[in-house]
Amino acid sequence: MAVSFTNAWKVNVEETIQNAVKNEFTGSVPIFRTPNFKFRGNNFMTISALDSFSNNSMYSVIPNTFNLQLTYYHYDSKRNDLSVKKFFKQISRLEEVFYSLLGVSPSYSFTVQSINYEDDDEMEGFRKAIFNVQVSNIR
Amino acid sequence: MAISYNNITYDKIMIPLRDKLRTEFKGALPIYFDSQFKDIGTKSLRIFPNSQSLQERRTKSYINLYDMEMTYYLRTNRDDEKALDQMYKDVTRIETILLENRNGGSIPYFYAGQPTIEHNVEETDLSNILVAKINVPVLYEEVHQTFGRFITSNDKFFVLSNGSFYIVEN
Repeated sequence: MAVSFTNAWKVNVEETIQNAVKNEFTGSVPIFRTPNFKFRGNNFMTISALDSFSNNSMYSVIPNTFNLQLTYYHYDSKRNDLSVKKFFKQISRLEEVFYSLLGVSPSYSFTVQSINYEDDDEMEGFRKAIFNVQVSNIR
Repeated sequence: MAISYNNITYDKIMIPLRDKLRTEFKGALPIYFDSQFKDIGTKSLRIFPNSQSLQERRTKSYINLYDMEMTYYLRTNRDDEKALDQMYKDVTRIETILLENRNGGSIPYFYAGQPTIEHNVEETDLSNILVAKINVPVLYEEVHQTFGRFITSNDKFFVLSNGSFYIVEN
């Protein structure tokens, strides 16, 4: 008989994040899981898995920690104080959405370890915020 | 229902820093927010964060460290000590303002350390210009109001306060 399992990366981690972002931004910030990056508009996010490891447990559960990178792309043609304000407003809103996931389940932990800000090298005018995120989950 | 949130980086960190510097320099040093240099006069100061990192997670709040970078530009055709002295003077004045405003007053930020300064920075594509970078680490604690946003109804569905469902696929 085949083993019963959950696709943890997809279901427990990435789709949970996607659903939270979609729920909050209702389509204004599309979020993609994709191995091949491409630009998708003026405002979008990508999810890239980095690594995961199992934590030790003596119980019949699988506790995992997942590290992933979420990159938010924001086209800023105006480059003034107000457009900078809008960029950081989106960042704070995303951060708040991610931390709100802590309410999903006691066994679910989410931390934004860091966010790096930079301009995109490839496409002029795009600002990037790279979220380094850690998710812990028991299944 | 959309969540409530603060624009932390902009409203709680960048604006207070800029306002303190503006009050001191008045119109003598234009200050702007951007990740790239703008040619807006003989002297200018550009403020932009490099990154933020989590320092501590608490039950209903988190403390982040914001690495704020200020870049001072002085356009000059002079290649002598006078030009250098002008830059040193302005940068020292900026440093003094930062040291004298280590906490945000009504806004609960404070510096995690002393500002660090790098003089005579080379920035590509810029000529006849003197550049100095001032980095200041700023701590800020944000309190969550939204941890109780989801109310469990069963293993798969979470109900928002307005009665609509949030679905976690399983």
